[in-house]
Amino acid sequence: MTGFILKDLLTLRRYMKLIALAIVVFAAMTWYLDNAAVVTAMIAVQFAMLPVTTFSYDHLAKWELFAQTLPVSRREIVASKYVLSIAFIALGTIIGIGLALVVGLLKDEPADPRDLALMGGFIVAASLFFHSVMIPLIYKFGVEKSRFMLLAVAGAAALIAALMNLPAPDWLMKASPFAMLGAALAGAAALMAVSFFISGAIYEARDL
Amino acid sequence: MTAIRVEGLRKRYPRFELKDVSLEVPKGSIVGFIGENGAGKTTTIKAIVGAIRRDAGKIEIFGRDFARHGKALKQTIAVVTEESFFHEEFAAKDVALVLRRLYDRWDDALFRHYLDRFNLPPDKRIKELSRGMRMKLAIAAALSHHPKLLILDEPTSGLDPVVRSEILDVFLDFIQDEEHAILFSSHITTDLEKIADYIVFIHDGRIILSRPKDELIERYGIMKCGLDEFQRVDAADCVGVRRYGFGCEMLVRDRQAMRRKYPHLTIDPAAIEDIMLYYARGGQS
Repeated sequence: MTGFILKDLLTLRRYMKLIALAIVVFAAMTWYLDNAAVVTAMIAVQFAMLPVTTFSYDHLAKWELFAQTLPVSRREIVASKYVLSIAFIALGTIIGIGLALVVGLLKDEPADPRDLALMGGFIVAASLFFHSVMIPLIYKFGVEKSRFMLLAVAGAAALIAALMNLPAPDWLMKASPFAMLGAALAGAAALMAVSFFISGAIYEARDL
Repeated sequence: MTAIRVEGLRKRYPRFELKDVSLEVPKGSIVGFIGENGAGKTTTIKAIVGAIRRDAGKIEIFGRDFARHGKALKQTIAVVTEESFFHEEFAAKDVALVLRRLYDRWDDALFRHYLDRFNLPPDKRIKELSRGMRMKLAIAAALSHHPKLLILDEPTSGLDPVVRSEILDVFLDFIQDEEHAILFSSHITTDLEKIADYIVFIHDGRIILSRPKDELIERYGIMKCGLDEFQRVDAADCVGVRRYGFGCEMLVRDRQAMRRKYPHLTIDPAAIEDIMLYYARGGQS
């Protein structure tokens, strides 16, 4: 499995140089923006998209057939994508939070560690949720179709919520942010575990 | 003992079907797997390596059920296909970095030996390599974990004769070890005439011929006659017929017997390509 993760990292080498450049730009933006959260989230999104990009590269190189000839099981191949996703989510969040922290200190306006922790936690939960939905879709429908499907589902959900004008329930408004974060992380982790088994089942059954 | 045994393999697609495909690749031999495009060669190979789920049939590699021991067996197999490999941004040294982590018996010195033999620069990216160089890299990577079985899907397709010859030499070296075996799918039958020990011919998803190559070369023939004489040729003696102008040519299974039976007709040896063409056309042209 480590061979597959290394393969993806090597595939992303050039792409990661672009991300490094983007981080520099984001760092400059953070300096001039009052709200570092936006930039932190943008960095996290960049990293969260990297595993999806590896699927595109795999498709371009027709890698899947060759991968099938290598001494790894299909479930290990799927597992390597999930490990890579979690690693990039963690890395993106750490860099984003780190940037907000450093810029805050340099500007002599240090961010509240509690706010940063909450922000990082929610970014991790949102990214885990995103990958939990996206990866099985990719295994089933391919990268391009999955992107559109996810956009369509997210758009439809947002539209329905806006049309129904749903108020936030009282219990949610009164809940402690850290309790909400704990629930969000636990839910996202559980969803990711379910997602892994679904992706494994889809990939096991697929003809390459 | 056989390296590959396929029995009663079936796979149904909406517009194509593998029909009870059975074949064997004995140890110490090269089996040429021939057939026109779309006949089922790649589908059969995909089923052998587990890339597609079969509807029925059994696949054994070195006597072990592939469905149960696939992962372990793949340590002893190398597969080279025409188009599926690493991403174009990879260089040979990157390929080695990855494969070293996957194969228990990966051999860096052997990989370097093949890179030198093929004049492949370790730092050059795949996208900068010619088609022939890419194939050589795939073959170098395939051979560097000491496999016992090579499965090749059109490895020489689209390559010039010099590169093809170079690659065939590597396969001949590989097969010197009697524990080794090669399944070589190709529609370049001249390559197979040079190196194959057996020929398996698949047509429309069905194996229609499976014989030692020398037997095909020695026994099959092209019998030529005028259209008037053709009326007197026993239909059972012909595998296939090509008519042209005032005469016709027939593929016959036993040219010595046919020489005795039709001493006045010209009979030339048949090439593998002739045999494939006549069988594929099913006796009519």
